[in-house]
Amino acid sequence: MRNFILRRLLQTIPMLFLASLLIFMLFALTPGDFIDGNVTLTAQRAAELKALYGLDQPVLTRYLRWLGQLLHGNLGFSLQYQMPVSQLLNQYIWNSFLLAVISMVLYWGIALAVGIVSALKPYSLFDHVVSVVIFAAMSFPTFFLCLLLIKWFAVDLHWLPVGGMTNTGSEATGWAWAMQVGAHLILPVVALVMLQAGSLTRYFRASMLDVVSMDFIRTARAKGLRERTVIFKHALRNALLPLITLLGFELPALFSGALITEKVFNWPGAGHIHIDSLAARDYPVLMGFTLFLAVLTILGNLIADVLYAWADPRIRVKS
Amino acid sequence: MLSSLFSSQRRLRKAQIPALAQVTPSPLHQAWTALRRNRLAMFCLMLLVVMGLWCIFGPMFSPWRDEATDALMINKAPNDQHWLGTDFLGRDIYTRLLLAGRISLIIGLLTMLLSVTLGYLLGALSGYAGGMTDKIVMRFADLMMTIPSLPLLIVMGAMLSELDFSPDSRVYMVIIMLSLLEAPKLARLVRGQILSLRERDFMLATQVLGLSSRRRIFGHLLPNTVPILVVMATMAVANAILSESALSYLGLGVVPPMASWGNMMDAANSLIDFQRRPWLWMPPGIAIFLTVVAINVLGDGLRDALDPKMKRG
Amino acid sequence: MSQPLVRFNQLSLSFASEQGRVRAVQDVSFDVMPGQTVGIVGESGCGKSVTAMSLMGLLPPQAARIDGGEILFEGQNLLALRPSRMADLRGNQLAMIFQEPMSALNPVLTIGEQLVEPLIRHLGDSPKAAWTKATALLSEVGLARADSLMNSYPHQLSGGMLQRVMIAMALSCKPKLLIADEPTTALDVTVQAQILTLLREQAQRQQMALMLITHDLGVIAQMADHVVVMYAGKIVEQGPTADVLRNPLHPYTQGLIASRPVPGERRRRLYSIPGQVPDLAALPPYCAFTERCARATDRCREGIPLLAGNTRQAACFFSGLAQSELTAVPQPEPQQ
Repeated sequence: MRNFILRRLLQTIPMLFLASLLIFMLFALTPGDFIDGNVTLTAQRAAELKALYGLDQPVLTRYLRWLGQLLHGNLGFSLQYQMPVSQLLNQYIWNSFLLAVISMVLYWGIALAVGIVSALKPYSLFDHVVSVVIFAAMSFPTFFLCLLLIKWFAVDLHWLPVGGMTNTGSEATGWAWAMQVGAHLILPVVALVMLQAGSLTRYFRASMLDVVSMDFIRTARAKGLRERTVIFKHALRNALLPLITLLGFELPALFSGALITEKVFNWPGAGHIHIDSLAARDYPVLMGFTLFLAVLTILGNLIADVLYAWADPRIRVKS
Repeated sequence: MLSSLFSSQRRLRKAQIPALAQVTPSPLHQAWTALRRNRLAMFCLMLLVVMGLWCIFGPMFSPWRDEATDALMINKAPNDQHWLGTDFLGRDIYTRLLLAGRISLIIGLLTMLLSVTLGYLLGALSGYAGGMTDKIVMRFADLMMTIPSLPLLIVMGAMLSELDFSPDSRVYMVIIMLSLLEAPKLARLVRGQILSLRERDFMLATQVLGLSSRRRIFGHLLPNTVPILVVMATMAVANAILSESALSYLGLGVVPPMASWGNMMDAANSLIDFQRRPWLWMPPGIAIFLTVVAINVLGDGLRDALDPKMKRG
Repeated sequence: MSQPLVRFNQLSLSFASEQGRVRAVQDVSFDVMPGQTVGIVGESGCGKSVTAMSLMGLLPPQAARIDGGEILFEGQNLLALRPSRMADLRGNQLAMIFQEPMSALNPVLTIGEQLVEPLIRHLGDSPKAAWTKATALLSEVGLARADSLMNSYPHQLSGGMLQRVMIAMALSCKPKLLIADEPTTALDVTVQAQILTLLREQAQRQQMALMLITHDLGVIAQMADHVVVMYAGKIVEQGPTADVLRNPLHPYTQGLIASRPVPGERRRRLYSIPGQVPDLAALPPYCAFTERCARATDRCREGIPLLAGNTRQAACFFSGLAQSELTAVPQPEPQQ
């Protein structure tokens, strides 16, 4: 098992390098940069600033310098916010994390529960209603769903706040702050859960249906085990196997911030920063953040593989 | 060569022996019959066809032209003359919606064609050739998938603005961008399918029979990938429509004055329009929603129809 | 005459399908006495597995419908039992093993974890005691290194070993009846012999009744005291094995016996029963074997021959058994 992990880790290193190269090239080769965005500068001043930030160097040199900084743990320096990228991200990433982790728990929970019930009674009324709801939820464009939610619940009914994480100009702390955040969380979480619960439920339902028709379930029943035991001990463990890999892929999503949702709800998260940096062409932030996400993706892949190997004895125990 | 994919031998034999026609419908034909029985899926197919035709021909029947701005009629709610109201330039929303539909649907279809072609070719090549080719192609696909797609799209969209493309050519660029991003995932899917098909006994049988490589690939291996191809294609259209709308909403895809369903919803960004003038931004959203739902349901029906395993009972 | 352990009394079952109602089993009646080995033989789709599954209550309730009849276990009608009561009997007094041992066990649990389940559930053993008992069981069925096997996973064992594990699991609660549905079909011939021997030994040792379902007459000859021949959902012949094999009364049984290649015999063509098994969704209103029968006459198209006789029964107008000796099973004693 340890060898397996080590081998996979070694494989990821070249991937990381390639990813960093690709990311850097993408941003470096885009015409225009942060300095260009500021129209008030004279040409001479602009040139001075560029020299100061090393933006006038050839591409390869810049890449190597950036890489060197990375290996020292320095993600770069934001030109727009005038602070280290890591510090900038740290400020906002945890807001995204909050949103993501709550949504994730909810939609995994819903998917499991609904998937189990759906598979136990396939083609029943419940199953059909669930399928319809799932298709509807999966087909909404993200931003449209968010807009609708805001319009109905915030603007028209005034039940929930329109956006942001706290009430504007609020100085609340402690419990009052938590209550505010809680209220502001509701709509974005609903949007995220609606969008993602659907496909996961279908996936899980299909897996359960597959498993429930397998021979060993018949054996379990033939042994006279209670139906509850058959489903939860025998069927579920097998049906969850393919989903374990999905769990690994959720890692980057936990920190990337749901770009569009955060923008529409004005949620101060990593996604918001991402879009702002894009508009301002603050490439250090973009590069650092994208690389961070790429690392998380690769790590997530690795975790998914390891988890799967751990869970499935057929892979784990090579006789 | 393409007809060999659908076995012209079979058609020849069927023509010669009429009795054969009743007894052995081809798998594709069987799938089509199965699909026809799925009323929901057929309804969605009809809906999509109607929507497509409406978007293409509808504007011809509308008295309003897209460029027809009317300073007196700005921001009017839906009424007899303007079924869906007007926007800030006095343009008729209904006509605009249909024209935008043309763009969004065409982008969806063309993206699907391009990404599926690319993905299929890459995946099939990779899967069949194996060895170094396979490794390289898959590494590349993995690399592309490592970078989160929405940010990447946004960056590419920003690049487009930077490079100052005309609105028309932007459409093509959007199609290319979306295709490039989708193709790696499709390549992976196809490669997986090819790999598992290659190991099946029927491929071994073709080897034992001494068939030529060409016959084996085009007559036996590839026809078996048609089911997954069809399903992939429907999903690709849905994805493309959603991605394009998101991009255009952010102002990075199709830009005004050319309308797409996504950028029409940009109206929601102004508070007044959002609150008081839902006719500006709700219809495009609903249009996208209906289209994607129909595609998803149809895709699901197709998957059911093409799956040889018994789904019921 | 002692009470039969199991009595099938005019059992009829059907399934819903796209082509209509499929009558999988019709008017099936036979007994299994305590300690007796009964063989059920027939081609695929003749209803033998369905009959066994209905005894165990393993048929999916949405699909299968009981059209009539009863299944009596020690006098109690199993079909009338609540599912929870039925689950108490399954794995406990009624056990079953299946055809494909390779896929019959849960791949993510160890052999041991799965072996102890019936012991804990039905006998109330503690996990430790159950583990010890289960290990002993593995040795009893002829598996070496039982301790390490208990901690192995199914994919690490061969088909023969897995089938032995299945048998150990089935026998763990000392059932009164073991149903074996084609237990050796998926195994090599040499392993086949070992498994059958094992089954017979265990049945004799524990005075257990064995219901053996197979399409192989050789297995029947080797193992069964009593044989039931099924065709198209009906019993067409039954009786003591030796009698039936020596002197088959029904043309189908005759055909089955004639189809077996005899070692040493020289022939140009092997005999096979002409024609195909009828579609169970479209059974004719007369003897279902008519189209394939060498002895068919117009009489055969007039009606369905009933299963006639006492210990020896056959459903054919030409069996030699008088049709006036009406239906096979003596009427059950009235229940309180």
